[in-house]
Amino acid sequence: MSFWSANLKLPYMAAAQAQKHVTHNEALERLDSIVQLTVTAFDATTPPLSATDGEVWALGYGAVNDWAGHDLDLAVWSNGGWLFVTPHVGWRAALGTDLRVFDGSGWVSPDLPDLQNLPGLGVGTSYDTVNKLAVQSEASLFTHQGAGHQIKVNKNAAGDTASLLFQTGWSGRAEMGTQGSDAFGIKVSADGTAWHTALAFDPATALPQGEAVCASPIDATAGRLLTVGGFGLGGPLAATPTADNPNSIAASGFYQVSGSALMPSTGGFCLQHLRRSASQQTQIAWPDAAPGLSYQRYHDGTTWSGWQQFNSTLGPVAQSGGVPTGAIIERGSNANGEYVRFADGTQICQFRQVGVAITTASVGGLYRSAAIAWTFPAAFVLGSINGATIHARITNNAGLSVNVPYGGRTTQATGALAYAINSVADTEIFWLATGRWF
Amino acid sequence: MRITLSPIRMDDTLLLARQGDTLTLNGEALDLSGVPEGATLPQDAVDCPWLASDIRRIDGTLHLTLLMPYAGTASPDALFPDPIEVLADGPIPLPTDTSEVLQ
Repeated sequence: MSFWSANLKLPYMAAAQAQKHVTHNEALERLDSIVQLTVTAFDATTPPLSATDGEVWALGYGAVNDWAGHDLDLAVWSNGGWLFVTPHVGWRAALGTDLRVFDGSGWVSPDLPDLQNLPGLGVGTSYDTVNKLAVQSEASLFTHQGAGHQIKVNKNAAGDTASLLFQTGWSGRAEMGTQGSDAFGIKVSADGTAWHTALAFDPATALPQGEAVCASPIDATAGRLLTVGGFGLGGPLAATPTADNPNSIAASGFYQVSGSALMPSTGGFCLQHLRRSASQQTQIAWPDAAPGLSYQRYHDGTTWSGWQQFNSTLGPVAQSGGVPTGAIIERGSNANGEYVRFADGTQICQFRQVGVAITTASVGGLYRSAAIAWTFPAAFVLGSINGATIHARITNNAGLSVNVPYGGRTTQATGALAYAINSVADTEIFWLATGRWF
Repeated sequence: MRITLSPIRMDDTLLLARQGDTLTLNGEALDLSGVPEGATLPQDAVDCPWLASDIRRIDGTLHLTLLMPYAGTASPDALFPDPIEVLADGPIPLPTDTSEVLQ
């Protein structure tokens, strides 16, 4: 039989031993030290200057002085000297409420049991039946293991809610998640009672809806997010607020109008609306079927002006009541010569006429032609020309320019006589007439 | 009847028809049966805005020049027309009739 107990190393008394009380007291001293073990310090390495009888230190590595060579032992001040007890794995010691277990290489906090199926957990505060995990803290940290970290909020069915709710004084102000559907949305509230779905993303298309997004291509609510096609940008032209009514447009944008009596014609139009203010609005319209034409009108705060056409530079000129409705300049030629018409009414006609004979002896030794006529290549308006000028170009002779009456016609100069110094059987003359075409 | 066409840019139109020696211009009749063979009817003696020449009867055929209006654009046939021989009664087609929209 050993002299020492197996676990606590208490000395046994031998049979018929003398001085039994010494051995017995030695055992009691050890028991008194290690039963309900409380220590003054863990991981102590330097003995104190003074100690109270029965005071215990749990030594760490590197003990010095009286404790030298007793790393990891328990040092008990007992009867004026140090009693060293070597702890076994599993011994427990407490420093105040700090309960630790000896694991063979130091004093460590005991392992917690698996925290499964707890009724609740309150960190710094109390959980309740709804909030079974409650944390009162300046912050909560969820950090990565490996590359990242996910926080998962699951719900049972699409019609349920999985969300994060933000409160002010326990009154809701914002909520984001899948709320009542599988569309991820953000709701906001100014008072916790009236809620607005600011954004909700369609789970199939990812496209946004909600009060922060324009509800239609012509939703002019200030501050809303414009989507493709809004006011005709990036998509088909927008429809007018009232179907095919250009007067119903109030917001700047690009629109389509068709079959409206308020347009220059009843065909289809691409229309641009520019608005600075209620009294400073302009519309520009391009007809679908007439390239090159465009129209403009403006709004003075009370009513719309009439449409005014922008004019092409070249092309047939036209006018209505003096207002140009065609191109700015028209040039043409035909069997009667060339002409140019301007949108302001000015018209110039020219003609090179060949085969003119100036052979009739006339006054002053001059020769003249027979009466000749010129049909203008383009008609003048009555009273706009005083006459036409002819200039005869005669080989080896000086030609004469003669101003002739045009006989009151708007389409023809008649009765003109060309004169030359010599008799010329076949020459050419040049006509010039200027006036107005309206 | 031999009609020389004199093209002119104007916004009016001309509808022309013939019945014997009578021309109808936009509904206004112009009776030329009184012009004898070899004679000349001066332009100024005729009150017709479309007439652009004197009228002569040569070998039984009336010769005259008429304005042929066109608006804006017309085909080369209309801009530089050949004279037309009118043999049949009825409406007289003009080169401008089908060329209004040609550029």
